[in-house]
Amino acid sequence: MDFSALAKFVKTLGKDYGIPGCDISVYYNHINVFRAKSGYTSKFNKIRISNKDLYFLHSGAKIMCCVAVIILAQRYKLSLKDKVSEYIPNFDESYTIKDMIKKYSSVSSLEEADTDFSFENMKKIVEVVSGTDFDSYIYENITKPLKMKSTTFTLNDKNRKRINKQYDFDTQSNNTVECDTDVEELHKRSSGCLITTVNDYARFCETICGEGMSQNGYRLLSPESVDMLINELIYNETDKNDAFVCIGYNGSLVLIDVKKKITIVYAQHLMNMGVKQLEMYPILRKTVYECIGVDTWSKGYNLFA
Amino acid sequence: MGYIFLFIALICGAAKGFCGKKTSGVISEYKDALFTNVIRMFLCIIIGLVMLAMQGNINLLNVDTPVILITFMSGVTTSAFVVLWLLAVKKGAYMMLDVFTTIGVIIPLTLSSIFFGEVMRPNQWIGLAVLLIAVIIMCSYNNQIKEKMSLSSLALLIFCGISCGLTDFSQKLYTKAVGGNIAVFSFYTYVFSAAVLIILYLIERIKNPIRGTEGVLIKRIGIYVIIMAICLFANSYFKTLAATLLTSAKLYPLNLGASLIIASFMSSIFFKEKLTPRCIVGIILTFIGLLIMNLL
Repeated sequence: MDFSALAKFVKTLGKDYGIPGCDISVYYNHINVFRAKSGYTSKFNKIRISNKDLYFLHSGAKIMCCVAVIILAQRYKLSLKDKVSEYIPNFDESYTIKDMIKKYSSVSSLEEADTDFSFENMKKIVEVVSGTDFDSYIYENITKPLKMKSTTFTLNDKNRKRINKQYDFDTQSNNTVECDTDVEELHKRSSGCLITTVNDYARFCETICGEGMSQNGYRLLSPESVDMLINELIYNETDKNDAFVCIGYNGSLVLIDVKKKITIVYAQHLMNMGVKQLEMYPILRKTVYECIGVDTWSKGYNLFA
Repeated sequence: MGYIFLFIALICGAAKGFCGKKTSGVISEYKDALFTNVIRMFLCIIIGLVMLAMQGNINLLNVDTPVILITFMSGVTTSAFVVLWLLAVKKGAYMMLDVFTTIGVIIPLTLSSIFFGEVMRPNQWIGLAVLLIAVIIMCSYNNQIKEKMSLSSLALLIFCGISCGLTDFSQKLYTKAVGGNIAVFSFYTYVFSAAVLIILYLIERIKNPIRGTEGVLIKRIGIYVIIMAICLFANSYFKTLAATLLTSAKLYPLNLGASLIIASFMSSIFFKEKLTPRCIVGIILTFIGLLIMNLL
């Protein structure tokens, strides 16, 4: 494996794409093979991005919410064939939990508020079935066993300080500008906004990539559940089998390729990207795959003893 | 002086590893990997000849049976190691190679103890055990995540370790039993190795008759293959020289441990691979293991 091209690409994201700061983690064969940060948490303060920086994850976090529901199905506390109306009164009776997951994952975070297939309703299902509040459920069943120490759906005094300065891309001036909106307001803008570090979220995604088994031996999902989640249930921005790709509202990229054992978690604090920034993602994905060499005969390993 | 020769061998090994990593992505099938290794071995033969010519020792190529037998063993085990390494990559068992080559070090240590009286002290066995633990940790082999290793993969890895161990032992055997010119040893090793590899390559070519890839390959990575050949020859040459001055108990574990440390840092510095916590722990344990073996 040779990540020098990827390291160079990440370093140029600020200059070439106007991204003030970003953080990326790549796993291959269940090993964290690449880790890089670029830019600043704040252009004004010139404080470099660190492992502890927290990011907002919108669409990229939907998979976590879907996993929360599937865990309940695995434990026979609900069935994916159940009607949603069994758990949410007055919900359209034609929809099952399976439909709920599909539709929830496909709706944009910003448009969710206008639909029934929202984070709030997914949360209700989890709370009704588990008998506990959503945050506690996520903590006990996902973030604690996976040792995701900085991840939560709730903004609080502790994590507020670690959230990077948010930036907006102004398409008029073609410039990146600091966002004046309060962090609290930004967090509330779309429900289901996860607050996490790249390290933490990569642990979660890598567990899915490991067919539901975490690196520290915790069985989050069964291999069959992972297969169903990725191939049948969740909205996916790739048509490859056994792979999940999502680009979030805040510019995050989550890629889980179960077949090739690759996990990519990329996060930035720039919203409303222009066309130019969006061009970055296919290049980023292609560069990662080429650097790993997963599509070569050597699978990225040295052939010369 | 033995340590200096070993140091040179390690640097050459690192350079060989660098070139190997740079070029492996270009290889598109097993046949091409065999072909490139055949070319490497032939280049090593030429380097051996040139070296002997420069030393004015071409006449030393007229050897007797013990030399032929020892270099035959060395050559066959070298090519076996090359082929088994490739098969390990093909089968996805690559990640455990370092573990089994570490276990393979027991072979030259044990045989040296039996044949040459180079008895291992208790601290050296402890140091070797620490080294093995270090390698297992560095391989990041997670029992929960692993695919069930097939018997064939396990057998492959065991034979890989054995062939690596026997290659090392043949260096020691040559220095102790013959004590002749090291370039002669290297020359004949690569003659036999090339012979074995070329047979395997030709068999593979009959099975897979697509032509034309070899020429393209040489154009793309020819210079790296030349550098790898020089480094491979030098690595073997200086390690064999070191074997004349150092006991097996010092040489082979030190070679292995230092190679692992250099490879880890090289991957991080030149190839931007992340030095994982397991890797760092493995490096520290390797140091401790080597200290226990060499200083206590």
